[in-house]
Amino acid sequence: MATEQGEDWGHLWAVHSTKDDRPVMRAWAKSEAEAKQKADELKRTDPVPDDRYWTTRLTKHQIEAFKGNGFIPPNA
Amino acid sequence: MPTIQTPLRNAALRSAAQDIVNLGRTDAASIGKLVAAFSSTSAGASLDALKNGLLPPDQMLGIAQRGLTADAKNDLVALLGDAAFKGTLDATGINFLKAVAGLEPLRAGGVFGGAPIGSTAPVDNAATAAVGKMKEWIKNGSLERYYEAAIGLGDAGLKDEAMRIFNALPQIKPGSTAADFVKAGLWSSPPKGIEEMQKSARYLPGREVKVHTNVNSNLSAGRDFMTYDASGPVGITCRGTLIGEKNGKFLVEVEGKAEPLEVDKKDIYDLNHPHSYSPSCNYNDPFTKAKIAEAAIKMSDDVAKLDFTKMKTDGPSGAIGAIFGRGRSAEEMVEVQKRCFQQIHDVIHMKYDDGTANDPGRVSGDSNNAGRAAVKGRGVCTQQRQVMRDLAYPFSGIVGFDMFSVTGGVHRHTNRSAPAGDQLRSMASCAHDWLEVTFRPSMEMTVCDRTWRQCNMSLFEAYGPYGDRYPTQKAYDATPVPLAATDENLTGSITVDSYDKQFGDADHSGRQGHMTATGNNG
Repeated sequence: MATEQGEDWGHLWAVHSTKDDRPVMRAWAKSEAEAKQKADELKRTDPVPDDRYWTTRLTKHQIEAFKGNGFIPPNA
Repeated sequence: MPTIQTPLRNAALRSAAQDIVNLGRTDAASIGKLVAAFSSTSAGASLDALKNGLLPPDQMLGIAQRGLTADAKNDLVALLGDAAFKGTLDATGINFLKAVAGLEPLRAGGVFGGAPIGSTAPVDNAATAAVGKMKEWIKNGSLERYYEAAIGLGDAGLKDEAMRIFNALPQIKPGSTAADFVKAGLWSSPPKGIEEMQKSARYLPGREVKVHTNVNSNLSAGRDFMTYDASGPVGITCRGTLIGEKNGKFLVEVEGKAEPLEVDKKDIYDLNHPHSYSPSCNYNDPFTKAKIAEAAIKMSDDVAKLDFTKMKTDGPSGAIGAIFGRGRSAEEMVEVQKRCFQQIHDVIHMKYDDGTANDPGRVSGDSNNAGRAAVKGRGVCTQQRQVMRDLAYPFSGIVGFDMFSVTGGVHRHTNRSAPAGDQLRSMASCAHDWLEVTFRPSMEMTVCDRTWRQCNMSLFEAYGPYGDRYPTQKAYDATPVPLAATDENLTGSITVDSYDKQFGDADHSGRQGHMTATGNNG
């Protein structure tokens, strides 16, 4: 399945958060439900909460990049 | 048809060289076949990539040098003296083959396919006219309307003209020269002293470097943050200064440590040596040409002020040698370089993938569609770093900057009362990407975070206790440029002294947590 712009969706999800418009990826998950759970957990546990937490489905290209930099394990 | 007259021992090499002469120009595949003719590499994938022209010069060099026998080297040197052969090569081809033979260092960023040496790339009338039109659109403020039309938004009546102009623009790519920019009409005049800048050392006394050592990673430590701490965890600090070499290692002074560290040179290169661009970036794409042309035109006045000969001053009275970066002229030149770099940053209009960045015309972007992504793109930090890097790369060897692709974490989710080791692990636990940009020849290092729209940040602003980044490693797609023979000069004949130590007396400037006012909003 591809996005509306022809990108290939991957099988993983990401958790992001942002503060003062400085977004960063925080965690990855195997499903949307797991990602949302992790987002809620980060919101609870961050010493000072960020302004916003959200989840996105990752494209195959994004998964390749995050596996490349070690953030997502190669076998995920 | 010109024929190679020089006798060569290797018949396959002669045949490959004659093929280049017959072709009448240099391209990556023909140079790859030439290298394969004398290379003993048995790596199938490498050999295929070589012959099919899929590798840029810096990646080819290692393969070529590994397979070079003494006889092949003699043949290659002889070939470089052959009039028919030499007259067919472009500047990148000549430099590459000389580098293979060990006659000169490989210049960073070259790509095969330029005009034969002695001429600049041809620019046709349509290209010159297209540059004139781009200037007009920038001046009258209508360029954004043409970009919008080109991607199917706004005034549909402008789309054909926009695409006609973008397609007709000259192709500027890694390896293009300052003369190419001028001949295309993008610049009124080239910087002065480019060669001096290009052959300046990257590793010389006084240069700030990142280094692995035991650090004080306590975010509450104020100015001591990331200084040396024998009892602290091993991390990466940018509070090192190169001061010399000893026993084949670099001597690095780290703030907080009385004696310099002896550091393996490889470790310093891994953390500091610049990276190349992505071969998947298409510099002939109309949007990429348009965005590069836009940045070039907008920096033209500053480029005309660039004079690298002003960056070197004599040492203090009685001292031997010279200093890069000291003095008013030198400082002004670095500021001019920064303004040029900022122009590239500001022509990129991308938004972070925040789940809502799906407005009409917005596409996910990276190296594969850098120009289109810069018009109206979406992407996480890795993608935005790639677009910034690939659009900036053609300017790097001319305006004078190196780029290092970083993956790291952020500070703000760290519990500042936790043990220092836990704090360091916390800082490294996110996934964020950005560029370190080092201006040459002053070697002043800055940070450009395209995703957060922060450009030309000092190391203190980016990495200090009030900053919000920790550089964990080089990015997954980072390909170091080859180390040039001129890259090291630890003799003391020249030093850098372009700025106060970036952490030393700097106060919290307030920029660390905020986006640049000159950035765009995507």
